[in-house]
Amino acid sequence: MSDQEQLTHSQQNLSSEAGDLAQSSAPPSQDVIDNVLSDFFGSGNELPVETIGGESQQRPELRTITSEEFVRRFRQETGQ
Amino acid sequence: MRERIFSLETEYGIAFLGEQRSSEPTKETLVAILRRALTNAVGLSDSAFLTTGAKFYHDVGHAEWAHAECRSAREIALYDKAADALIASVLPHANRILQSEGFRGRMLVIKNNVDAHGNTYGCHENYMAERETPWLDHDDYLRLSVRYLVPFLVTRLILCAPGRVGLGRRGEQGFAFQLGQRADFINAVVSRDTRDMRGIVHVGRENEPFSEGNYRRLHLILGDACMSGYGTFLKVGTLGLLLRLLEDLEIGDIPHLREPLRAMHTVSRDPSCTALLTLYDGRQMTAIDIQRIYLEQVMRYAERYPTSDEERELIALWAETLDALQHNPLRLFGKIDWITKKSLLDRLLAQNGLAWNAAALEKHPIRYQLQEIDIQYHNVDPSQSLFYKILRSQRGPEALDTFWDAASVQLAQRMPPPYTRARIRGEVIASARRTGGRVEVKGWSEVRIGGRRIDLRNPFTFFSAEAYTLLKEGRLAESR
Repeated sequence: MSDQEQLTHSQQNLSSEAGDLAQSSAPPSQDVIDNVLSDFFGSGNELPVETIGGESQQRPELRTITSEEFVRRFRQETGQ
Repeated sequence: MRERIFSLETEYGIAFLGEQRSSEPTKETLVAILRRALTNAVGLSDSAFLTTGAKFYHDVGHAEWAHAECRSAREIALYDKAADALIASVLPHANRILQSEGFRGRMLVIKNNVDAHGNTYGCHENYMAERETPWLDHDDYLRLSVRYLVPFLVTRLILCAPGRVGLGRRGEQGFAFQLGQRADFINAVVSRDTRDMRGIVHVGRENEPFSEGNYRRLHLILGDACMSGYGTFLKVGTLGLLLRLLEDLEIGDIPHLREPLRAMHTVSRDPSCTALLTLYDGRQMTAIDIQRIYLEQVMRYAERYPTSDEERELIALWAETLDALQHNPLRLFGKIDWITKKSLLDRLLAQNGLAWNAAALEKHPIRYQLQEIDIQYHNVDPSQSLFYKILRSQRGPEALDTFWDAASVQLAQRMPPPYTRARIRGEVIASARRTGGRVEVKGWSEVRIGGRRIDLRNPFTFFSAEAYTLLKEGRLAESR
């Protein structure tokens, strides 16, 4: 079977089995969300304790340039 | 119309995460490098088109992926996901190119629709639609279409919005959650403009590709990109159903919104989906009520007209989704982006004993984490993306979509849709890559092989004897 045929075939098959809301209709367990957040922000998911005008003691690394831009702007605005 | 072409144009946000003292590439450079990496995988150096039949190019400060022509909502949902996966798969190569050109850092590709500076970039939708009906000429049919599309488009946010932290274009109206990302940038009910006056219904570009004969292109610019294939399927599929009703003039008694723009902003800022929208006749309805009226009309239509398996599936899914939104929205966790993202945000707030209080959050450092979730949910790189972290926690470590299995997504990263002209375009490009021959693929409606023009104006054409003869005869290699 060629790749093209495989693709066509898989689409036809999937149309009858995927995307069904009833397949997984249970609300997520809180653990799922907690695990994802913990994995994303680091274990413990501790709140950054940097406050306006205060000291930075422990802050998860900001991983996006946009967040860094926010921090830069925030500091500029608050004169820190 | 029983057969239709569907397509999307996804504009990706692109950024550079540089190491200290690294010079920073321009957006143009980043897109050019990403394009080089894509070309290496599935493209040609002298064409923006790829073996999937799609087109990737730099468009005014962002990377644009114009999808190949698809025959169904399910198919475009697959190709939309495959584009994300393909970009993610070439990022390591793109990053090596960055390094080799002296930029120390890595590229970030985000499939969202607004950045922190108040810029917006779209996920435009394209539908082949009839230009007129036997009883209505073009202008009258357009008026009728606008009348019935507007309440639908305003309220469909509840089905497929991605969610956003921040109200107003730059977040200046408050630190709160809203459903839509583009909603605050839509400032006209009907418009031909795509930049300053963005309309709920866009009426420009109707004569551009796949608009031969009695067909026009319905080009909608108000929508947001979905991470979830479920959302893309609902977004495109429900509109396709509505177009069938319009084209058969089987629609009527649809609520008429008194102030559509205000209503759109209201819907976007109401995660409870209970806000009342005022109608022209003074009645008030929720977005769910209005969507149910459309759904009921589609169901009645489906009792009288033949419908495809996909259309019946869409109707069932639409009904289930509205029921879930009304009674238990968390059933849609992992499927509807705004619900998934809001669950993450809500949980982070709860873990820290906080709630959605705009004034308090504005000055609280947790805002950075909320904003980071808002952005990283949309990262196309599965190792970074919150969408994929959720997906994989639910469906296994290799999952790429809520809707499609990983094998299909992988195939669609290099194969074109099988039943449109994209197949010819894609296979010609694939042949040129294999043989090193030269072809000209500059537009959507033709390809040139060995100087011979293959007419692709009919988007439903998926086989060209002339193209295959030329390829078989090696004319492509001769033209080198």
